Amino acid sequence: MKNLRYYTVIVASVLAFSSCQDVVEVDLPNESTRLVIDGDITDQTRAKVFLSTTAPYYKNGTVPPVSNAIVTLYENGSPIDILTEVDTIPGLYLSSMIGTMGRSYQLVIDIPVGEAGLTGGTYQTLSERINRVPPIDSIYTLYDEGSIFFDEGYYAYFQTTEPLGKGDYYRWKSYLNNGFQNDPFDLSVAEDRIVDGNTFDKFQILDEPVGVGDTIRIEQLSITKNAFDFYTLLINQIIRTGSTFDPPAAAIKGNGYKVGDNDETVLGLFTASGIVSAEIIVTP
Amino acid sequence: MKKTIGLALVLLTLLLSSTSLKAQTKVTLSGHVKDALNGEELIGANIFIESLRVGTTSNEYGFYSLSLQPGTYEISYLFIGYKTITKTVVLDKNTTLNVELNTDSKTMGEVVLTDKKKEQNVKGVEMSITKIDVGTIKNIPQVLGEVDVIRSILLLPGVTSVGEGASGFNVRGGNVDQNLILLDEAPVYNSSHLFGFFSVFNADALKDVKLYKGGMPAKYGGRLSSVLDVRQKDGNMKRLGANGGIGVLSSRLTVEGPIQKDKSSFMVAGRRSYADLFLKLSSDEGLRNNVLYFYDLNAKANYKFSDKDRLYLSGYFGRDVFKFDELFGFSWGNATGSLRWNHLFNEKLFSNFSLVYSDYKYTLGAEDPENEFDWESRIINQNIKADFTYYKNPRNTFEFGANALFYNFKPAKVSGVNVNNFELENQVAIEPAVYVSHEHHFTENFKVQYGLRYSFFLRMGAGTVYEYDPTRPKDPTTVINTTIYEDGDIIKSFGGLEPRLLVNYILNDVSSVKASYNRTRQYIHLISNTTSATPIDVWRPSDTHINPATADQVALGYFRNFKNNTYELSAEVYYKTMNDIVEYKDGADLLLNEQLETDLITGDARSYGLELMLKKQEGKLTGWISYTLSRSERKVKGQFAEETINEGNYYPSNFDKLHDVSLVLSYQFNKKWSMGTSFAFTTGRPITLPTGKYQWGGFTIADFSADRNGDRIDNYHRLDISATYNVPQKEGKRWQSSWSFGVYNLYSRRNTYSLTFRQNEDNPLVGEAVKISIFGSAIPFVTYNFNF
Repeated sequence: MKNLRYYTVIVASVLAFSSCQDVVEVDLPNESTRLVIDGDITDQTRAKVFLSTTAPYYKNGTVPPVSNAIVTLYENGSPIDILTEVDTIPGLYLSSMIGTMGRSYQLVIDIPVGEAGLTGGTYQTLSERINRVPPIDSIYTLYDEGSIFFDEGYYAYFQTTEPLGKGDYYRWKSYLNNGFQNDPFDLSVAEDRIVDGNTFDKFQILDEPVGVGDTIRIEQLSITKNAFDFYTLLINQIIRTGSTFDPPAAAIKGNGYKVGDNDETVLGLFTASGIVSAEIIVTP
Repeated sequence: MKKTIGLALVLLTLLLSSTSLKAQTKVTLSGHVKDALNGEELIGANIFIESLRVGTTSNEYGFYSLSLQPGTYEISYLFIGYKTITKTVVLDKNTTLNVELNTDSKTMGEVVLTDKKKEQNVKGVEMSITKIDVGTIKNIPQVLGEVDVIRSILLLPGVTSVGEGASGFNVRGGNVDQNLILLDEAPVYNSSHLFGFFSVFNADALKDVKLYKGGMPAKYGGRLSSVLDVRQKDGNMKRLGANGGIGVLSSRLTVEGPIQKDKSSFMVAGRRSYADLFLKLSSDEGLRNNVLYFYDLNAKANYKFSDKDRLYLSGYFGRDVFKFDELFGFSWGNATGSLRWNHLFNEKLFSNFSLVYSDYKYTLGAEDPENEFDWESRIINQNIKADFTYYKNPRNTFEFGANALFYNFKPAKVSGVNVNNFELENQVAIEPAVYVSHEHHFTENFKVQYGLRYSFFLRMGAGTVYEYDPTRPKDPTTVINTTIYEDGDIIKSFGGLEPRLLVNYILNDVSSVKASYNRTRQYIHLISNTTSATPIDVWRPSDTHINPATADQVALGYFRNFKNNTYELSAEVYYKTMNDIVEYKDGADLLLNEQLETDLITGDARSYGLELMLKKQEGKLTGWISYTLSRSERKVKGQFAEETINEGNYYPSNFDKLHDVSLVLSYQFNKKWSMGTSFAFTTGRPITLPTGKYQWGGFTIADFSADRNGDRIDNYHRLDISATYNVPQKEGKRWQSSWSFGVYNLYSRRNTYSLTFRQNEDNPLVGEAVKISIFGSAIPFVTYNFNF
C-alpha cells in the first residue's frame, strides 16, 4: 500500500498553505540512563550487537557505549556462541555464527554493575525466528517524464511474489553505489495481511531518480512480528509527525528486557532476518 | 440498577400526581411565531402574559401553546432582535393566533426600556445551553473570511479543541466523538472540510444553532458530552430572494422563496471552494489534472397542509475531493436527509414524526494501472422518531417520545491490483430509546424539569466474535474461541436509564440559581488515535469487547442580568465523570484491523470547571467575554501493563486547558460601517516530552519513556479583526451588498500546535525539537456578500 504515502502528501500540502516549522530550544527533563540493544542476525551475516545507553536529548555526538558485557547468542534455546567486543569500537560485539533459516535466536547480556551508568545485571531479548523470504524476481529501471510529485529521470524497480500464507513481514533496504540509504523516509516495512500471495510488478526502490552508471541494490529482509511492531512505532514517531494528525508520542517497545525486573525499560531491538538481494547498474 | 429503578418509580409517581391535579375548564391559545419579513418560524420566542406573570416559549418549529382560564389578556410576543408585539386577546374558546414579528433595526441604536425578551437566561429552566445567533457567527472574523459555526463555538466557555485546524471540538472534557451533531435532526459524523480547517455548515443556509453542554433534555441521547442542534432555514414564505457571497476560499449562493405563498416554500444553498480552479489554468498537464475542492449543498422544502399539519423535507450533501492525477484520489463527506411531519392533535398536543437518513462515506484510491486500488468506508444511519409535547397549562409541559436508530457500519472494503479483495465485516446495530420529561413550575419562582430516558443497544449479527484468553493481554495470538453469528442474531445487548434533572430557583427579577444533573450513554465510539481526528477514522459500535460509555454530570449555575437585561452574566460550575472511554495501546493499528479490540483499551475520565460569561446582545456594541477554568483528566488502568497508561494514575487529556479566555465584540458605527473582533487565550495543551535520546539502526530517536502528557506546549493567543462596509441601498432597489475585510491572527503569532523531535537532516547524530505552527502569519481576507 505504498500509495498511502500520497495521503500524507495531501495532508502535508493542505497544511503547507499556511503552516510553518521552526527549530526551537525546549527545556527537557533528563531521566535515568537506559540500556539500548541494537543487534541482528541474518541467514547471510554473523550475529552482532551494539550496546549503548540513552543520553540527554541535546547532547552532541555519539551515545555512551556499554563495554565489558558478556553477550551470549542462543539458537533454539541453547547457547551457541559468546560474542566478542571489538577493541576499536567499544560497545560493538561480534559473533562468529551465521543464522540458519527457520531457527530462532536470542541474546543474553550480562552487564557489570555500574557499567555506563546502568544498574547492571542480566538482560535478554526475546527469541526471534529467521522467517522465509521470497526471491526478488527481477530488478529494472524505467524512464519517467516526471510530474509534480516526481522529478524526471530513471527510477529503479523490482518485482517479487509474496508467498501464500499470512504472517509474513518485510523490510527493504536500498543502496545507492553501495551506500545504505538510511534517512527516516527510507524506512520501508510491510506486512502481508491484505496483500497475501500477490505479485508486485513495480516496487519502487528509491524516491529520487537515479543517474546512468549508478549501482542500485535492494535487499529484501524477512522480519518478525515483534520487529514489524517496533518499526511501526518507529515510523509513527520519526516520519508521521508534523501534521495535525500526529500519533501520540510513546516509548518504542522493543524486544529486550531485564531479567527479574519488569520496571526497567530496555530500548532497541534484536532482529532475525532472511535476506535476498538484487543489483542493477543503470543504463540508458 | 435497583437504585435507578427506584428513581424511575419516584419520577413516575411525580408525573402522575401532577397530571391528576384538579381539572379546570381552560381554553387554549396556540399558534406559530414567525418572522414578518420571510415567514421563517422563530425558535425560542417568548410569549408572556404580564398580568398573570406566566409565559412559554416557541418550540423548534415556532409553535406555542398556553392554556388559560377564559378571559381577556394582554399577550406579549418577544424575540431578541425583533420588535415586541402585544396583543389583546379575548379568550373564550380555543384560539389560534399566528404572530409575525418585525426585525428591530438596531442600527438606529434604540434603547428598549423594559426588555423581557432577554430574561430567558434567568427565568428559563434550562442551563449549560448556548444559542448562537447565525448573525453573530457571521460577524466573527475567521480564517480566509469563511464564516464557521464550529470555530465560533470554540469561543464559548467550556468548549476547546486540541488546536487550530484540528477537526471537531471538545465540550467540558469530552472527546470529539461525544458531540451529537444534528443537522435538521440528522446526525453528521464528520463536521469538517479540508481536514478540520473549515466546518461543513454553510451559515447562509442556517436558521438556528444551539449547543447543549449539559442539562440535557431527555429527548436527546446517544452521546456523552453535548448536542449541537443545527436547524436549516425553511425558505422564505413571502417572496423569492437570494443571497450569496464571494470569498477568498469559496463562494456561496442561497435561493429561497415561496412555492405557494404562505403555504409552502423552498431553500437551496450551495457552497464550493475553488482553489483548484486556478490549477486548470496551468500549462502543466500534471497540475491541470489535479483536483482539490469541497462543496456543500443544502436543500429544504416545506408544505403547510393546514394549521394542523406541516411537512418538511430537508437534505444536505457535502464532499471534500482530492485527486492527484491518476496517482491518488481521496474524498469524504456526509449526506443527510430528513422528512418531518408536524401534526397538532389538538391545541395542546404538538407532535413531530421524523424519518432521518445519514450516510458518511470516504473513499481512497488510485487509477494508475500498476497501483490501482479502491478503498471505501461508510456509516449508514436511519432513524425513525416520534416526539410529542403536551402543553397542559402554563405551569406544566410534558415531552415524550420514542425512536429507533439503525446503524450499518461498513468499516472498510478494499480491492485493487496489488491488494487482495478485503472487506471488514459490516457491523449492524439498533439503538431504540423512549423518553418522558415534565417541566413543572411549582411557583413562579421555582421551576423543575425532570425526565427519564431509556435507551437500549442491540449489536446484531452477522458477525464473528473472538474470545481471548483472559489471563493474557488481548492479542490475535491469544484467541481461545470463535463464535460466528448469523444475520438477525443478537451478538450483545446493552441498555440503561438516563435520568435528567434541571431546577431553577428565581431569586428576583434579574437573578436565579439553577442546578442540573444528567446521565448520558454512548454506544458508538470514534476510533481515532491521532492528535486531531482524521476523515478516515472509523466508528465502532459497542459489542462483546467494548462497553457503552456512560457519563454523569452535575452543574450549578448563577444567572444575573444587569441594566434592564442589557447584560447577561452566567457563572456555572460542573463536575463530570465518564466511564468506559476508548483508549489505545501504543502503536495501535486502527485501519483494516479485523481484531481491532486487541488494540483498544478502556479507561475513565473526569472533568470539572468553572465557566463565566458576560454577554451583551443588543445595542451598538454586542458580544461576550468568557473565562473557563477547567481540568480534563483520564485514567487508564487495565489488567496488564500494556493496557495501563501512566501507572493507572489520572493524567491530563490531550485537550486539557486550565485557562481559556474568549472575547468576541461587534460594533456598529453607523448604517454603513461595523467592526468585529475576537481574541482567544488558552493554556497550552499537554504533550509528552522526551527524557533523552538514543541511537538505533542509524537513527537518532527521542526516548518517550516518561509519563504521557507530562508537559505542555506554549500558551495560545490570537487576535482577529474585521470590518464590514454596507453599500448604501439604491432607492427602490432590492439589491443589498456589503464588503468584509479582515485579518485573522492580526499580530502574526506563531502559536505552537505541536512539538516534534527529529534527527537533524545534515547530522543524524543530533536531535532537534521542531515547533509546528498551523498559521504562521497574519491571514487577511476580503469577502463580498449580497442579497436581493
